[in-house]
Amino acid sequence: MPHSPGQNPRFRVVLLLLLCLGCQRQDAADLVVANGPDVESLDPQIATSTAAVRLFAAIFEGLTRLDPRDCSLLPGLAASWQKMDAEGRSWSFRLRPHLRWSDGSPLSVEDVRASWLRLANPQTGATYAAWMQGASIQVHAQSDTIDITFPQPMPMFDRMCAFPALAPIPSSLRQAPPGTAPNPLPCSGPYQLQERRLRHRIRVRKNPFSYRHNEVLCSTIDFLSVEAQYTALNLFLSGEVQYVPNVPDLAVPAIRQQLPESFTPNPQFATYFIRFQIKDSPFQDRDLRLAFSQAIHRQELAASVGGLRPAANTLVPPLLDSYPPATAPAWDLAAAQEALQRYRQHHPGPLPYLEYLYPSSDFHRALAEALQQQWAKYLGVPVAIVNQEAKSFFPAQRALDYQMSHSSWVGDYLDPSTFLDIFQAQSGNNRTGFADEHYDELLQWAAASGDSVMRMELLSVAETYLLEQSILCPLLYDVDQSLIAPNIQGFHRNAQGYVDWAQLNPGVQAP
Amino acid sequence: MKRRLALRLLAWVASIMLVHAAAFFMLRSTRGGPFDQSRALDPVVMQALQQRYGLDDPPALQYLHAVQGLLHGDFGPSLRYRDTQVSTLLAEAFPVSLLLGSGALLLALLFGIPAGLHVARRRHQNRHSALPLCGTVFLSLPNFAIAAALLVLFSFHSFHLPPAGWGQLRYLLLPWLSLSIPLAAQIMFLVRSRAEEAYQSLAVRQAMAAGLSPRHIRRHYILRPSLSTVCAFLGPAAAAVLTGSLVIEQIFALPGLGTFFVQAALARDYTLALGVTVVYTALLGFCTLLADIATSLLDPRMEALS
Repeated sequence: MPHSPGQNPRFRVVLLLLLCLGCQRQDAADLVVANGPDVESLDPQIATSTAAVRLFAAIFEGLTRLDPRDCSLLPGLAASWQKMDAEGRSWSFRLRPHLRWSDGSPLSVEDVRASWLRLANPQTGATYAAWMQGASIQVHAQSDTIDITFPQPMPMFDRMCAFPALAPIPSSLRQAPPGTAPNPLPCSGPYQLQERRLRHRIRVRKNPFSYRHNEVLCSTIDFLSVEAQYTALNLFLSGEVQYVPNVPDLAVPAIRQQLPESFTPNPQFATYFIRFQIKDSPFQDRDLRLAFSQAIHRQELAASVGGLRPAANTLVPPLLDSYPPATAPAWDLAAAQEALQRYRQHHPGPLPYLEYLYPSSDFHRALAEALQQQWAKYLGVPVAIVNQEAKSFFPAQRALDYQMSHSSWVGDYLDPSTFLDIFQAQSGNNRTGFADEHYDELLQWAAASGDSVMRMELLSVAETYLLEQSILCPLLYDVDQSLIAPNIQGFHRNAQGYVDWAQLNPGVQAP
Repeated sequence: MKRRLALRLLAWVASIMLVHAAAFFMLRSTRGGPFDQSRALDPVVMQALQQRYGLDDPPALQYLHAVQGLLHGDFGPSLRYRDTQVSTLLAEAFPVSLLLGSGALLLALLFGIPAGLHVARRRHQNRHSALPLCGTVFLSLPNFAIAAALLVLFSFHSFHLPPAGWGQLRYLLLPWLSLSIPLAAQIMFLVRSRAEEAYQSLAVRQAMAAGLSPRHIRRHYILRPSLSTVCAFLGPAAAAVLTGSLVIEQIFALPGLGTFFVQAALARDYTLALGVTVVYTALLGFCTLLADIATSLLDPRMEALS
């Protein structure tokens, strides 16, 4: 009697294989995000990459948080707060009542105090340690209030509190030795950590102890580690992910045409610019800096290599209504050549070897090549372009081992000071050799002014001064090139690329 | 044989130590460190970090600590993934690369060996055979081009296989194919040249004259020497494939070892870069040793010659 196909072992193996191949994702999350490179740590005081900040927006909440519609400030873990003096040296925050970590344990002002002290401790190795330097903190456990006093004015501290580095972290994370992460990790955000598979995905699920748990619309969100932008795009096009934070430049025209409902570029609070190294010759001479700045046709640059990034005339992106805009020296060929002539009169003989340093990446290379062409075309000056990988580039920039270099800056919060502070003489991010008492004083006066209109005007004067000195040359403003599936509701594009994960609605209601 | 094996093992250990030392000093001599980033760290914080990870010690002392770690199989915490041990990162990534590599290798062998034998058998009609032509094309195409073509065909055009990701078998089909196609072509050409040589050998002609069946001749006089060539090739090829492929892992977002090779060095993650280098060296030595043993078992002349 012949065997039926089901009894044939070979048939069974084939059937099993087909089942394995054909089976659908059993464990799909409500929302899947191609989050970029893997999050380097689950400690918000250590990890500062944009991928990490996106994740922390889901699992850790600050005392304040941002409104995704316009980046205005909303109460977070703090129900209310106030500036105790006009300059913003002292602040007082009152926590919401009955706050809990995701494991059910109480979240107290003591957690906030310990977290802030840990951030300030150099042993933690936090990038934002300087924000807390010299601060004295008092807690009033009975009234759930925490007072903080800084040795210098901190008028934007309430905005800073929305940044993940200042969010309170649980004691198990505060005490974790290097090379370890607590498991489970108590969270304070609308979501809690469910699973972390290194370099694959981080899954978060609704946090029932969050004060916002009633607002949360997704049960689970997957943050996938996807290094390559084209891979992320493939995943989006195949429907495997619903949010991609960055579309590769080359794909932008096609995406704009084919997926207009998913792709709406939005200005970001970030600028690409050139740093001049002014400590040594030849860019010690302002005339040469002016010549190079005024020979850059920014509109042409934006059209040829900028993609959707618009031409920049300022360091601080013009996204703040209350901030009077400053303007960098515009493209002016006659003025540029005149400035070059003045430089040549002061420095007779042939021009020295000139070099533009940039960190390795396709976009940076394209930008460098376009600049090289413009300087050759408009000034008749040959400039060598040199690339270095990031870990070599930044030490070279910091050691002032360059003449001109590519630079970019992303504002940590929506305020001009986040851009202007970096050019203070003592700032580790200055990297130009620029040390100017007048500029530093302008910033100090602005911080201590106590009046927001006056403060903004002083900051604008400082930026104008900086641009007049041609310490830097703005090139392009950055844009948000994210893709979101059209069925996801509650998504708002804003200047900081901030996503409020609790408000995203993929069409399924969380239980 | 035992003495030879012991010597090979000794050489294996020595090569691991040498590569470890070379990698250590090359990494340290490169500009930049693990904590250099676009947003500068406060000098006091930087100093504390250097101290915490022993990076302010003299290089010789750092090297001694690294050797100590190597002997204990503990490379310490990763300097990029600061809340994770290097051993954890390797333990999570290795099974992915192992599955990816072994599947691709198996597919390559399953297609490459029969194809090579087939082409050799039809060596007088090769002018019209498509296999060598296909083999040449697949061998000359870069991995990413094959992967892109497969993605268009099997992910977007038909079958709708996932274009990237990890978790189930279906996520591995396209990476397996992308990795195995050039490898299969390489194996095909290896087998073909060795088999053609065998077909013209005196032994085969004698066997034919003695009236042995073609099947017997193919199995014992053609396949066996062909396999010994494949074995010799498989040693380093297996080590390379098992430790992952940077391009394939990036295109298909697979959390394997391959991406570590470049990323760890670029991020100046000294501990992870050393860990990955040691794993690769150990695997390369081990696979080569296994391949040599298999070759000498298949072809006893190899041992006699060595």
